[in-house]
Amino acid sequence: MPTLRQRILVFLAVFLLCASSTTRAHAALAKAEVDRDRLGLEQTLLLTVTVTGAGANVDVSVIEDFTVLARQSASQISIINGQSTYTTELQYLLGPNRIGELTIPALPVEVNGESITTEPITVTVQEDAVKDSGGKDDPDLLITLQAGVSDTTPYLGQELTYTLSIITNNVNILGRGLEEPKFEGFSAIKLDNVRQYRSTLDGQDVLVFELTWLLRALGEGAKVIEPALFYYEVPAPHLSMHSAITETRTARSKPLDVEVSPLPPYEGERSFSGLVGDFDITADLERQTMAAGESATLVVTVSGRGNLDGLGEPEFTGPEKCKVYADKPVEELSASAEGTTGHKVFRYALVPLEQGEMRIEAFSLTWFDPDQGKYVTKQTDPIVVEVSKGAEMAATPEPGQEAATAEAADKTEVELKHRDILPLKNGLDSLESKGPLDLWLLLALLLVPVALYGLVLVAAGLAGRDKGPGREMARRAAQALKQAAQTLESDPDQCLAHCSRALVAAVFAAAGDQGEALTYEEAAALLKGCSGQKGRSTITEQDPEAVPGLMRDLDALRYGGGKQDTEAVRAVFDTVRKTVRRLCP
Amino acid sequence: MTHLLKTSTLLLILFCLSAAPARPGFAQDSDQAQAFLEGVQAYEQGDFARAAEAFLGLAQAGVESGRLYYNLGNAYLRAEDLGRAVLWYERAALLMPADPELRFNLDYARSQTRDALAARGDAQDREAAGGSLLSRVLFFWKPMLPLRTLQILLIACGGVFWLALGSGRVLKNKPGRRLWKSLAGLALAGVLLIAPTVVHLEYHRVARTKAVILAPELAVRSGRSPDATELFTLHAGAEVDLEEEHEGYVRLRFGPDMIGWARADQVERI
Repeated sequence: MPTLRQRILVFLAVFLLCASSTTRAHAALAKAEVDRDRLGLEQTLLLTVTVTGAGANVDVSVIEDFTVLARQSASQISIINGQSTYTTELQYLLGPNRIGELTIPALPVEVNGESITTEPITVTVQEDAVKDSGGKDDPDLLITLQAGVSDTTPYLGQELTYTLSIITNNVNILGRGLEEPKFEGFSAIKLDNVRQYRSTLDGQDVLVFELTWLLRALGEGAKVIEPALFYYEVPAPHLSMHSAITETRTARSKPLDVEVSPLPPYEGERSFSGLVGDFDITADLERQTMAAGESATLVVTVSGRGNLDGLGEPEFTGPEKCKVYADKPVEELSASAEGTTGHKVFRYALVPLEQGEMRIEAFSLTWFDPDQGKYVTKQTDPIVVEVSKGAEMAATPEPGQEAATAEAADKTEVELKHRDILPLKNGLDSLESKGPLDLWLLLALLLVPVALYGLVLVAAGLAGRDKGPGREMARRAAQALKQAAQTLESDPDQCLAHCSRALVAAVFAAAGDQGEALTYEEAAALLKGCSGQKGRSTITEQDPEAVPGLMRDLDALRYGGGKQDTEAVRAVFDTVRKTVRRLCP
Repeated sequence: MTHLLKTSTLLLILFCLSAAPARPGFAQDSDQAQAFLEGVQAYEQGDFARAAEAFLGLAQAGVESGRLYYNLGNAYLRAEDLGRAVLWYERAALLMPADPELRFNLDYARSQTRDALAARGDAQDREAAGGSLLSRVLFFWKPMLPLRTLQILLIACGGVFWLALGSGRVLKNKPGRRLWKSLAGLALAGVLLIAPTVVHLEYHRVARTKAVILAPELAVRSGRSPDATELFTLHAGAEVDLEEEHEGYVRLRFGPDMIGWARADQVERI
């Protein structure tokens, strides 16, 4: 049973633990709130996220019904009764994306290593602006955006214009900026001139700012040009963001539907140039008479309105017996509300090689006219030129004749005039997978030969052991030979002794037998027994005679007396070495 | 030679002859061929987004082809998505580094990017451009041969080396043994030459430290928060090194010393 003293001590310990912390970490909290729950499509909403805790990070990318127009944050630390609390306030200015019941979902918040979420918020967005109490909205303020296209059912490749009009009755309106339409599915060129004029709308005098884009559809089918957004400021004393007294609002145009039709099938004889619009083609030669060897410039000009930038080089091989040098095409195009207009010029230098009539065939151009809804073909007139006699040039030099040499042209550095990418690789071999080998497969393929080599070593070791006494005698022969080599210079007598031992061991090894000494006859008999046997291909028919003869020579040198001749010993050693290696492969 | 020795040597020879991986076949899937041709047609008609979608479907289905990735780069570039264009060109370069059309288009795409390293000095510029002198010498064929070819060469040299070593071991006659040992020496030299490059490329393939910026404009900050100090801005197509990834943010490095954090969904690894 604890004593009173023990109970007091426990109570004091608990009290001190509870009271000792002057800074307690609070559980992280996050709260989201908006400044209004109903607004007009052109109005904005202020979202405030208050987070207790340091280093708060709010993910607003989950908000789909609104666009985040601006953001700011502020932090503060409060200390109450010795406990400090860190608070972060993040504010976001939101613009609604549509009318209806819109939701700001639960926002993920990261703070102090924790992940928490706010509560979702539902807001009603209506067409018309909601009047704020105490606000100073101008009931007569008019700002509206109108958008239109010149043709809602264009053909593929046809140019059309998109016109955006910003209409207002307040010349002093402050504009934050214009978010232009995205023009997905179109190539778009914005025209430089902004048209400004006065007009009347619903009985009011208004100012109109008109912006124009030139569009060209990139594919067939139904397309939607998303609305443009214009941001502007109105007085709004209820807002505290940036300590401003204005509220940001948006005006937007309506989305536009465009149906792009494919071009009708072309069944003409001439090839279709790909042009869509209205065009003309001319061909002119700078002179009507010329001499052989002289050059004249042929100028082919395609002009008109439409997608001229897409026009390729015309097919032109030139007249017979005439050299043709093509120059780089030159184009002059300008974009306007009427479309892309201008011309593209192709120049060719022609050098007739012979006297006579030179005929340049007609150039043909086929394009699709969207106004007529059909393909149109135009041809130039053929050009006929009389070529008089001049400095005739052969196309190729005749044998035995020197070719005419022209003066070396001044060379200039080739510079890129335009840049573009090279075309697709459209062969089906593009579907052939050629990725690198998997790492584990690579390691396996590298290690398998190593394992097989190990197997070869093991097999070689086992094979060696099967030889039995013969293997041992072969080892002794190799050993003795090694010793003979080592003593060849220093002790020729010893060398000869080792050679003799090596030879005897080699004979035993060849016979698969074991022993220490052999007579000449025994050696001959052993070798005779092995010669011709399967697996003994190194033992010849002469060995039963030659080897004992070598043994005799060795004994003669050893026991012959006198100083050994090193050269003679070396010669014998070489013979013994070859014989031993042959008897013991 | 014993039967076992003969058998093991024969196995080693057979392995080395058959170790080269089977040549991958052409597309056996007619659906893939159809999808590919639709992508080509869409591109030629000017619908580059649709072309990119068709090619991307094939890549996601597992077709690992430098030519397909090149086409993806072209489609994205025409669709004015510079970031993805550079990304797919770089992926194609891993598979066919010496393709001249790819190099031309990649150079063009790079010329369209907005970000450039500040010129600092010869050594640092060289390092930023193509690695140190040592790495350019050791890995000199990195821009010439794809990783797959180097892997196959390495396997072949390794196989020849071990085969030559094994044959030299078991052959009894000296000239044959000498020949195999010489062959082993040559094969070993090949292994020592190729292996460092393969290891280097494998490391980068597995680690995937290179990445491309996809967003038109990306703020790189001092911390993992949209409110952290903005250190510098990168644009679509800029190529960066990724050092760390944490909670939806990546720490990236542009050049030798421009480091910061950015949103991971705006960057994609090569």
